[in-house]
Amino acid sequence: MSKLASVLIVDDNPRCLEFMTLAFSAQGGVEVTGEMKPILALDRIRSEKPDLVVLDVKMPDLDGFGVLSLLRGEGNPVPVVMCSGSALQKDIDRAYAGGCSGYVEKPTTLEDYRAMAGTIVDYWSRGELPRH
Amino acid sequence: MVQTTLDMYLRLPRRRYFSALEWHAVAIGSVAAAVLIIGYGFGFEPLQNIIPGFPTMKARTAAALMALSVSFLMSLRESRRSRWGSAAIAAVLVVLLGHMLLTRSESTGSDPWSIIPSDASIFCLMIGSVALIIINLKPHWSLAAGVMALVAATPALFRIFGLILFQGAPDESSPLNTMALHTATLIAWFMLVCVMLHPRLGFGRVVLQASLRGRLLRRALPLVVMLPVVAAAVCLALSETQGWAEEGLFAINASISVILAALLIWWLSSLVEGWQSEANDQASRLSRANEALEQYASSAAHDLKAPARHVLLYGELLEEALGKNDIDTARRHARSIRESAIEMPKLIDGMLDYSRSAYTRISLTDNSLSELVQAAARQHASDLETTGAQIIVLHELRMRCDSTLMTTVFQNLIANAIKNRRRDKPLAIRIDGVREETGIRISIEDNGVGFDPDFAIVAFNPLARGIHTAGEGTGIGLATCRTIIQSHGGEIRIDPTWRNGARVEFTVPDKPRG
Repeated sequence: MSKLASVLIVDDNPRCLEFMTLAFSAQGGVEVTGEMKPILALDRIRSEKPDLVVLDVKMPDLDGFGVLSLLRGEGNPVPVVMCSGSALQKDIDRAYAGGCSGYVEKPTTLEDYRAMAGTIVDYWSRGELPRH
Repeated sequence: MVQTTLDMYLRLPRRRYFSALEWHAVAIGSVAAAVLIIGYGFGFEPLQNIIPGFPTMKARTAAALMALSVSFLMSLRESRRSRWGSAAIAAVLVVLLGHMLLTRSESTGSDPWSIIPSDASIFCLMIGSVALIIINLKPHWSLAAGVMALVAATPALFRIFGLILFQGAPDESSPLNTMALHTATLIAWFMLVCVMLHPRLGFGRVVLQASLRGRLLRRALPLVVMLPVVAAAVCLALSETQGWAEEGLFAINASISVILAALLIWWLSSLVEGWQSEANDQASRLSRANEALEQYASSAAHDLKAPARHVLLYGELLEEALGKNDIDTARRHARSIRESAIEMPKLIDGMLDYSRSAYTRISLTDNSLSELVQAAARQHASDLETTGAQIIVLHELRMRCDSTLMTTVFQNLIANAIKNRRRDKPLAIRIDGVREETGIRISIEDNGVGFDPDFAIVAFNPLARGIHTAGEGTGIGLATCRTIIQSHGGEIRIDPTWRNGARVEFTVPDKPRG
């Protein structure tokens, strides 16, 4: 049985959110929820304690780096996979320096979306997930 | 303006038409010919006899000036033959004038050709001819030719000043004393305009160029020429009217020269300082534009990729839905494709507006606040009517700004207010202007949903979008406003304390950067 039971996807763009939700839902056995507002996402991560957070980088009000830094600042160990349209090395470096668990570029095909979601779910189902 | 003058004067003329320099030479030669004919009549009654005192010119001076003009016109041509021809004419002149100077005798008779021109005229014309030989045969000796032209022009200029200021040379025994005003004028004109600006010498190019050196030289050179003339004029006046002794005159001359030179240097240094600060302003504008470009490029890449990616993905979803014969889902995906496609041109237009605002040079005019607001409101007329919105300008004032760009600022702020309006009450936008010590402060308030305090910090970054406008705006409007206001030398900010909607404030200095 999969150890990864819940994923929270945070993306300000409703379309990206829809693609992500579809891709992760297609994996089966994972509860997928989405949040468009980064501030509310922080509250939900604290209260709902999802097993994994998939976090967009470029968002209004508070970007993905800001969300990650707040989470790590308060000692929250939840695995965070950053998902961004940018494949710039400086963004990738910044994300890992901020304590992310993985960084993926937003796919451009449905197949890649599903493959990405499958790989993430598969990877985080193998090992022991950090407890909150 | 400078560039046009430069082109007009300094390019070598083409075959079909005359350049400005050629017209100068033709005018000088023609005036000399006219004075000669009018003065001596040559078979007709000379005008001098009819109008006593009518200026005339010694026939040899006029002939030499005409020959110089022809030589100059030939020197402007690019062919080798013309240049050699020009040098030959000038060489003949040098020989004739030199001979005249060395074997000088008093004029006799009434035959115009027997009257010998003054020593000063012969000297100036001869030196000018030598300069023309150098220009034709040794153009890289430009400094020598330039110095010769100045040597020839200076006595003529002094003669002109002497005649204007003292009704003749103050020193009766001066060789300048016999040079007539029109001869002196033509010689100075020829030397300073034709010879000094000759395209082969390059002085004109340096002086007329738009660079810092050219700007400085255009201001400094005439004053440097005037400086000793002013000192000499004061001394001569003192000598004439007060009978001052030589020692006193020397002291006065030295003092005036030192004071005027110091003032000149002071003025030039302040000029250079002003230009430097102008250059610094431009550099900071450039660095701001670069910074904006960098931000804009990274955001643009991200934001432009998104709708394209969405079109592709929804296309795939559409295919899948059609494969399953799920028409409702297919229709929803088709609508999403259309919406994503609509986003792209909006985004591109916004980006173009933004980049234009970053690179446009502002042109300042006096504008009325309410007229600017009206012009902006006209762009949103249908939205304002549909939403029943009201725009009120509380205080009318005039501001110095670029009207097109400032209208864009109001346009963007009004568009934001419309997008972020409350659905439960009619939109009211209040615009107010206050004159402050250093400029004008404008505020735009609305009764909409307002800005999220966190968003207020990043609102002016290109492509930043507030949560309320997600999906509706491109996120470039406020960034465009900031770039425009900064290019006027002002600042723009969101009032974070305002709770009844949104409040944006910006300043425009009284003397915006132009």
